Amino acid sequence: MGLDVGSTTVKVVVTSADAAPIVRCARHQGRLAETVASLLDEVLPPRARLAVTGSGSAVAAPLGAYGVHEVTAAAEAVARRHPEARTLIDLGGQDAKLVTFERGGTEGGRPHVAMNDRCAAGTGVTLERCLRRIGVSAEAASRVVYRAEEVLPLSARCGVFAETDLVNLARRGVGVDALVASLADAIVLASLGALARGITPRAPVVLLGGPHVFLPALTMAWRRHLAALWKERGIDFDARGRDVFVPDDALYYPALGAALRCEPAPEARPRSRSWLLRAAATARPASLSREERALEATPPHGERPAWPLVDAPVGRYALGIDAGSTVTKAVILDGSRRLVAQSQRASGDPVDDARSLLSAVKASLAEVDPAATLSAIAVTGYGSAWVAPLVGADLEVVETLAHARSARAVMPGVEVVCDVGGQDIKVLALEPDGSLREFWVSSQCSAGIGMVLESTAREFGVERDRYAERAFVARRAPRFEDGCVVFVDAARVGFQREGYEPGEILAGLARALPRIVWTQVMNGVSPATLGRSVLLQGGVQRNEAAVRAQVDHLDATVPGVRVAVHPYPELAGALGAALLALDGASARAPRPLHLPVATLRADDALRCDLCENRCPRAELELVDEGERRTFLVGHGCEAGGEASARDGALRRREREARVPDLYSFEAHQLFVPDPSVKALRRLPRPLRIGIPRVLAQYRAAPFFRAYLEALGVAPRDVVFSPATTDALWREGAHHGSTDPCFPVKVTLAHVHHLLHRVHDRGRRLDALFVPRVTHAVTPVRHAADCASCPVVASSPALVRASFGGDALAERGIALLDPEVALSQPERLRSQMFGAFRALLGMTRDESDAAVDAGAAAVRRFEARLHARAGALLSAPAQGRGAVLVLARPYHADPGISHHVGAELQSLGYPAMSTRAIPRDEAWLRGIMADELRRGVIADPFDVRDLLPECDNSGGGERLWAARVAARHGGLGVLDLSSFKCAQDAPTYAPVRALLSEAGTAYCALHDLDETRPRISLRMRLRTFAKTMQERGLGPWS
Amino acid sequence: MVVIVGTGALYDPLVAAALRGCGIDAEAAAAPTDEALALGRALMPRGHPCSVYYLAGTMVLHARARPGAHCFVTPGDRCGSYATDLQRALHASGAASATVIAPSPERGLGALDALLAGARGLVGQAVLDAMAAGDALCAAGRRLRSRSVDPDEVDGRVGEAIRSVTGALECGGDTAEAIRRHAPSLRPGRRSHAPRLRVRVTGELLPAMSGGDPGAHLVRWMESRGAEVETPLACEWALHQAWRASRCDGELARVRTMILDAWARHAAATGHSLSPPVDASAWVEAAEEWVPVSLCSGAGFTEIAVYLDVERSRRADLVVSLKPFASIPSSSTSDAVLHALSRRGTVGFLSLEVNGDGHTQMRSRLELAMDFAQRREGIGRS
Repeated sequence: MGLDVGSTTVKVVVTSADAAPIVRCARHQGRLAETVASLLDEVLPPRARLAVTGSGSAVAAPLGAYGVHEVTAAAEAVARRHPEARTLIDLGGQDAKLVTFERGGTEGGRPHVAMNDRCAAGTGVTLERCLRRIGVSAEAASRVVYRAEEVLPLSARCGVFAETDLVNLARRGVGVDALVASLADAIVLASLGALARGITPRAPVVLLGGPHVFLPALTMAWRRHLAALWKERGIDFDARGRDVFVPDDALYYPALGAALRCEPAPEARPRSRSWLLRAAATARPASLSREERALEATPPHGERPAWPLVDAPVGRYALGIDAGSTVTKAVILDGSRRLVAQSQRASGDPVDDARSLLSAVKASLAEVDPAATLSAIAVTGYGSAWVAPLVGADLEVVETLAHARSARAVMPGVEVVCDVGGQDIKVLALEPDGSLREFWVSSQCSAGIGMVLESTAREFGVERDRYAERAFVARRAPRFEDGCVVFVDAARVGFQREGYEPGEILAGLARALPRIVWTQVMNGVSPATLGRSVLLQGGVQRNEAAVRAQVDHLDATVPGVRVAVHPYPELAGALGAALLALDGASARAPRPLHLPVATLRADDALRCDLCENRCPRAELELVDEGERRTFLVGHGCEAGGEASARDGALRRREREARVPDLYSFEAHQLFVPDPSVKALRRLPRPLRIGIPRVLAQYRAAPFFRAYLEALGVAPRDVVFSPATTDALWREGAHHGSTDPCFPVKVTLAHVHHLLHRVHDRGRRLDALFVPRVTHAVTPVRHAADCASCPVVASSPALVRASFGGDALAERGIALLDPEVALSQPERLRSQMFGAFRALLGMTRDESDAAVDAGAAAVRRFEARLHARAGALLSAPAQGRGAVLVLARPYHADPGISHHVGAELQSLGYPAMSTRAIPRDEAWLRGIMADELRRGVIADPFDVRDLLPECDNSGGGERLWAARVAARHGGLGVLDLSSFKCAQDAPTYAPVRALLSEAGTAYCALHDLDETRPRISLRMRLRTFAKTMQERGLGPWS
Repeated sequence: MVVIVGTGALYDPLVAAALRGCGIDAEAAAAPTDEALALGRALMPRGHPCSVYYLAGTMVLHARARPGAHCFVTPGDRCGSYATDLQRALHASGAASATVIAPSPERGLGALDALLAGARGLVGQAVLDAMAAGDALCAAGRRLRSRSVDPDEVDGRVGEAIRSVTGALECGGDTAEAIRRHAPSLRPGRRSHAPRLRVRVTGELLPAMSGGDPGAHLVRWMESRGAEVETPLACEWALHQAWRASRCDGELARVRTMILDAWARHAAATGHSLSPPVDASAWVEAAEEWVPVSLCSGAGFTEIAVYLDVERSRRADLVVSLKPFASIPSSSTSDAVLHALSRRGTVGFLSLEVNGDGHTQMRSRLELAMDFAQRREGIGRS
């Protein structure tokens, strides 16, 4: 008999020689002992051997059973049931595993197992949460047919990233089928990369685990991607997909496998139900975890101010709508700010949301004032771009500003606003006059805790309104250490395994909330430095346990703090929008609340054709009193808002004339041949060299191109892969053999492109050049070193690990991956000669001359860049600002930086990179005169005062450029960093301190990855633009 | 007061004792704890590997418990590049006068030299003796536990020997002789005939030298499941440092000999036949195909060297690489390079991320890897 005790269910299989297996399954909702006892009581035969597997296998010992690891159990079941199987892929609630059988399951081959790393954990839970977020039942999802052409880019590196992308896509109007198909596709791609790590899973492939059973789209996605892989690698497979399957009763395979492996267990004696209950309940191993102080229900939990009214005529009405990521809210205020109508609806189809909400508030308003008209309408939130034209909004407000406005009304003089919603957390630091001083918005790595509180309670069968009641009675609370929602959920499963009760886990989660806000989101900035009056708002503040934990945390960390809770915490955004609408007193005549006839069309013909991503778009048609208007909505980037490529190009030129985008210019010009480079020799035969357009190429491409051209390679034969796009990434993502930052990971996709899209399609490559750039040239002086990031420098090893065997040799392509120290001239000459001598057959002198040509090309490129930057840096004189993008060189790749250059341009701000800052020492001495006079720095290129141990090129450049921005006065700083960048992390605190002290407008976008959270990104950039304006740095148009 | 921190609960006190023996006022910080991790996270920006948070919290707790002007000295590898952030955390917690020194060959040893007041040679030998003694006693303890001696009893016997070594270090005595006096109690018993799974741990310094993970005690846990576990030696770390230093000042041959000599003397004193340390410099050529060896990407390079060494010597059945979450060099090495190497090789490999939490999940993964390795090697379940 096998018992599989999982994180959500208990399954049991009873096998015997003379009867069909008995199977049972029950959800345990955190009550493991009762569920196990109940199931055993039902099916335990008089004499049986018992083996236990799964995350709750701690019940094995007290039951006198044999414990089997769940993957071992599943592999055993597969080996017995499907002896021909070569691969088992098991997606569980938390972990994903891939088991390969060398010679088929029962032939005694050496099985290998691979598991996802922590960031890719939580597949099953992610799936469940994502479906809930888009309002799709498991049953409806199971009916979705996977169609490859519907699949949209979605990051599934981790559950939160997937959820972030999914919400963004949903708010762009993408249909349910496409969302589910995209989710399935992304999970498969991520699993393939994280599990296979370059191994080719062989057929037949058995798929196990709840997600595979409940979501057939996953199986279809596996078939598609595995077939592509097998085809690419010349492996025979069944084109009908029968090589990849989910067995009948797949859910019970671990329990079955446990039963099959339980021979060593003692034979169980008949047990009474009460004994089983006692035995199962004793399965509480010693806690591995630290515990928190229990939550106390006793008041006070912060101040509770009333919603303030003002003495003003009541006859004016303003509508505020907050189209949030989870819930859309609408309120109507009268002139005295009285809340006369309110309604909420889980976010879904924007047209339906608006219609239903407006009907509700219209009815409420009519009860108060049957003749009421609206003076103004304001919309905010994720879905504002949709809702604004629908309702004829006078104002589309950035969420952060709406929240700040609402907070100021409730608590005049408030210094800190903390808004915790289902997905995002926002912390706003306000000036005494109410203007925005600084802001922090959760990144993917700190988002979604609100949703986790709710979904965990639901998992335990606890109603949202009873969360606090359950948490308050718990006398202990396990400590959740990390703020990443995936980790939190993994820890939750661990705590269940350790025997913590649901109420205790809910208390622990509530205690974790303020740490996530004040440590993770604020990234080390102490709340005590922001002020002592704090207002809590956002839907999560309805949960008294969460409020209690936050008040306790603030009491302990901010001396003399005054904490208040918004009277309508979940409506704060909508109320702020309504207040701003009232403030603005629309120039339009008051009108009745009215919704035009709206139709949403989203078909293939509307897809954007401006790039190969072919993002879906929708057309919103509004017909009102015979007048028809259409809007293109849901586009993936700024350019995608244009109806055609021609319109797009025209608009781009117009915008470029008004607002130069030096950041995008640089990224493009780096790879354009320099006409000044002359060939020093002729090659005996033409050679073509492929170079992935990644990482150090964004620093040194002009050098490498000029070097090769000088040695006789034709400019057209130096072939760079294109800039990163979703399509390029997705096509090559299955080569994933590691999980570092996205800029490194995407290297493999670029190599894939060069092999399959360039070489295999007729432009044959003779060599692939992927240098290991170990040291870079930087403007920084006196630093310990100018080393590259070790991962960037060793990325060619990933290429070698993934392609170094057959893929290159079969094509006759030489892999050239020499070490290159750009900052060490003599070594560089020797390295370049050594790397290309065999291929190009040049002399050392010729190679050295080519190195000189490369260096000259870099100088010319930088001179052009610096000349253009001059115009941006002189703009403050005209009250205009520019944005310095504080990032590593490769962030200039728009596919890495989410097109921030173009996004800023659309907001009226030109962007430039750290490299574009002129190196004119006299000018720099002028702006850094104070530090030089005080002897803090030896010269304008010294950063030792900021980070003495800085020894990497990118880190030094970030610090140097941050100082230029702080002292220049006309620049705002957009700080970009990729997810998991431990090289940038030491610079966060000194950069923020420097800019904060100087009063420089600053916005951090850390944790960038393959996700495409355009809506949330835009919200941050619009808030950033507002902080620029409040510092007198206006837009250029 | 010099405070040694960051090499684990065994080595920090021994190194501090070595410094005291050279006339330097020194002590060791306590072993990293969950409380230290939480404190470090609260005081530092997000994005660091967890070992940095452990370190910051440990320093702050030490400064709070023993107020005064502290100079924390920590190895200059991974955590050393965060010295300014560590110092900032100390200052933010109220330890305004605390300083942090993280010496590394590439950044120079100037700050350390100033601290040692010109006694570098003397201190160097004493510290090498401390590390080698720690290695020998640590390995002897593991060997005893693998002979089924009660772990608590082993801790007692090894603890006695450590106290003797500490005494010898403090008075400039012979540390190998101090171990030799305890050799009878450290002598291994009869080896069980039942084959055991042999696990070699590698990875970044702090987690790998702190019993697997300061919070989860993975090594003890693996031993409790019947495995014979070999952990990284401080001498291996020292050999790697020496190799790195050799690219700066060419002292490799001399220092390398000193390290190997110190290790041999102390290992012999235990009465055990212990595996010698893996010398990273011996694997430069083999590793060069995979990593740019001219870069200071320490742990990644050491991990490859360890794997290659184990593959050649077959001294383990499973290599477990411990990487702090967000440690990209280690991640790149263990996820990509070592996976590629292990596909060609015969030794099992598991890359395990540690983050100070999620212990249950970590153990589950380890259990699975051990289970598969046992099946591969035909070792019965213990």
